Amino acid sequence: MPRRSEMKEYRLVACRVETRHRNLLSRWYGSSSIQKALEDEPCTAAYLRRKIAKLISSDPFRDGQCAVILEMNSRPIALVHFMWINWISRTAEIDFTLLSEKPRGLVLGAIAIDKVAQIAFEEFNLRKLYAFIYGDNRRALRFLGRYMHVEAVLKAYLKRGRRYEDTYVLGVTPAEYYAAVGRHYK
Amino acid sequence: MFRPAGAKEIRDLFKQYLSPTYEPFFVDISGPELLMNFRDFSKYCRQDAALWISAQDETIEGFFLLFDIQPSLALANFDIVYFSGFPRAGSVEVAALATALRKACRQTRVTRLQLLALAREREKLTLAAALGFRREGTLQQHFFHKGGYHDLIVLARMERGRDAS
Repeated sequence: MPRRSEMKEYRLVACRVETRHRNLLSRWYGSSSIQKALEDEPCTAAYLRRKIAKLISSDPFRDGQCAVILEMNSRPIALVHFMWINWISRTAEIDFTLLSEKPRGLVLGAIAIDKVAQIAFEEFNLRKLYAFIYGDNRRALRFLGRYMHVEAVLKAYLKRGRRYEDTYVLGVTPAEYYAAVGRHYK
Repeated sequence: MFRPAGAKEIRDLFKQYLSPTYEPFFVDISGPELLMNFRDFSKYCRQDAALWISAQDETIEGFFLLFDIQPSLALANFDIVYFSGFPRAGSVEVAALATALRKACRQTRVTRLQLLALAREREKLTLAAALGFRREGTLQQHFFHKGGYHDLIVLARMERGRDAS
């Protein structure tokens, strides 16, 4: 895990996905590697248009989802999509993807995930975040495994060609997150 | 004997669904948003879910539901309710239920069923095991119900041929 002093050099701003992000999202979602990591099946152009429109209009209180772009010096570096926000159980599923390679991976990931935790636990007052990670996405499993723990392995969940892949469900509570990063939960 | 539900049974279920103290079987039935009118709920039950009931002399004994059916993944969430206690493993009722479940899976082209159950729902867990569900993990402190947070046990049942990698 990167040192906090390394992370302090960078300042992130979170903004809700808006119409001005449409081209960025189209470009980014057009990438097959992103589709493979986030979507259950190959996406059609119409599906992507609908998905992006949904991200732009997302409202955590109306449809239980909220899409956020994390920016560093006005440069988008990550997309966070809170889904299935359950205001009774105070849980949400997240899709989290880095859009940039700089600054170097782990630091960027750590400051981005810190922002995700801040939004989820200190602003939305959620009690738990969880993520579905496809078994073939080893990088995401390794990275998120530093902050979240595996709660379930869904066997043969995802169809990849003729094979089925397992999917991992990872979860984290505020107390677990702040213990993992060595900081007290306010 | 289980059979696909008719309009009246769907209406009965809708009344329970709208109850402010809804039961765990409605966990994420169609997403985080409740379907607040009967037309949407009925449409959901007919088009995006499969609701089967068991009734005797017009009294509903129980029902099972395949919901959030995802055709591209050939999977669905599953839940089951018996109003006067679950049948015992190995009984005729369980055999009939297993047959109905296989039929519902064939009709919906689903080969993986997922069930979320509270740890304290022992009868349901026993029944699930008898139906071939296997435990895949525990979602900790995942569900708020009746004043407290509860773990949800994840179980799944797969049709033959859907092997894990």
